[in-house]
Amino acid sequence: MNYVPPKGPKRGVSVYSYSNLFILGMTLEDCFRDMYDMDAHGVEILGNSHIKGYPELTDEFLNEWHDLCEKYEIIPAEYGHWIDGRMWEDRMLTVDEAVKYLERDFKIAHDLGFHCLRTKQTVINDILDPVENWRDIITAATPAAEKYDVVMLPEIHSPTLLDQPMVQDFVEYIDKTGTKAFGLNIDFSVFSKRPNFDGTVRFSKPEELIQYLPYVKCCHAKFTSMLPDETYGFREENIPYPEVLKILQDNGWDGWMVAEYEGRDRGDDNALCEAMRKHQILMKNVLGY
Amino acid sequence: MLELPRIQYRGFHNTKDKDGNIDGFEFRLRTTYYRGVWLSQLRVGRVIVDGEEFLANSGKVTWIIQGKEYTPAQMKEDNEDFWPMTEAAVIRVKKPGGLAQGYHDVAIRWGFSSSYMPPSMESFDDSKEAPRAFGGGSNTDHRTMLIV
Repeated sequence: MNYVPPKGPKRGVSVYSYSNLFILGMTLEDCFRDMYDMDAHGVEILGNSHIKGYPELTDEFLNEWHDLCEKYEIIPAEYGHWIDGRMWEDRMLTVDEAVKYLERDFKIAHDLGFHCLRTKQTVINDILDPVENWRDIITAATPAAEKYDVVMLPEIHSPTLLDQPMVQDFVEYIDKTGTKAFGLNIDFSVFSKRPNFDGTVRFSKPEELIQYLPYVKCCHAKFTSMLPDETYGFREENIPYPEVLKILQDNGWDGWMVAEYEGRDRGDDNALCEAMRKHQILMKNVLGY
Repeated sequence: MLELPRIQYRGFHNTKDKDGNIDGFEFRLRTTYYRGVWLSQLRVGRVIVDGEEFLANSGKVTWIIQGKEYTPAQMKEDNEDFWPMTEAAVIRVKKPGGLAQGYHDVAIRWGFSSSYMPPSMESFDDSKEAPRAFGGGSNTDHRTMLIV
């Protein structure tokens, strides 16, 4: 592969963006072809969604994966997976069960070349607080994470904001344990002025991100609506991309930002192609690469 | 190729027992959720055809996923088998004589848990439709289809 990733914030894509079409028959190669068009070299896949044969990792898939990454100059940026605490209707997943499933995903992610994992925890209320024993689960899974050289990243996503106690709890856990197996994924929805489900408008200011940057290993570049813009070609209707990206860039943050499109028209192939490209044009013009 | 509606037209037909007698009908169902689910995550409700109800645990309803047939009770217990989002499930219903030639309103109520979402969004009640959000709540899919 000729591609060498630059230092700094890097442009990527989450295959999640293609979900509606992927279910109907769009392939990984179709997604990678789209990414190649846009010079978006980092990919996020979701284990439960995009690996044929999951939860097994077949040789056939592994070979196809490596061939496609090579052909389209794609770097594994983030692997999305879940702790499905409510897998059963009548009881919660135990810590041992959670670790068993986590380790299975660690191995798959490692074999596919991923280091960062977007680890979705089980939440217990409407502001998305995690289960009370989340520390026990993460601590118990840490030896396996170290064995497979992966880092678990809870995703900070609206309606959670950066000033919520949960984020402080995660950071304190990292500081106290000194762990390299746990960090943060910031979803840009936290900066969005788009109304929440309940009609309220609440968002974090981009500068609030600075204090957390040492803990942030990957970002979800969320977008839902792209509009024309005189300076950068396009802008996101509710998320101040230039401010957010400049904070990442000016503070020396190094990592992947994987695009997550959530526009209502994402089941329309032409609309999806256009939205993805407009979003990458915005990020390319702000970053300068 | 999957069809856009969740209930698939292709795959809707009467079924025969080993002696060739019509013993029920089946149809295919796809997900629009962006990830595959463990079978135990599924919340399986009733099938309703032209107002006739076939309750999940009546012994009349099975789901076939990746070629393996499950009762709703077996799916609830299972913790390793998986329903990929790219494959339709076959819903098989026992009904001696099957469905008559003509149009039928086929409906199925179902949901699934999404542990990363608030618990308030995923309460499932088979006795009533609560279509607040697909997956969360008690979604009912409908499709009117012609049987030969």
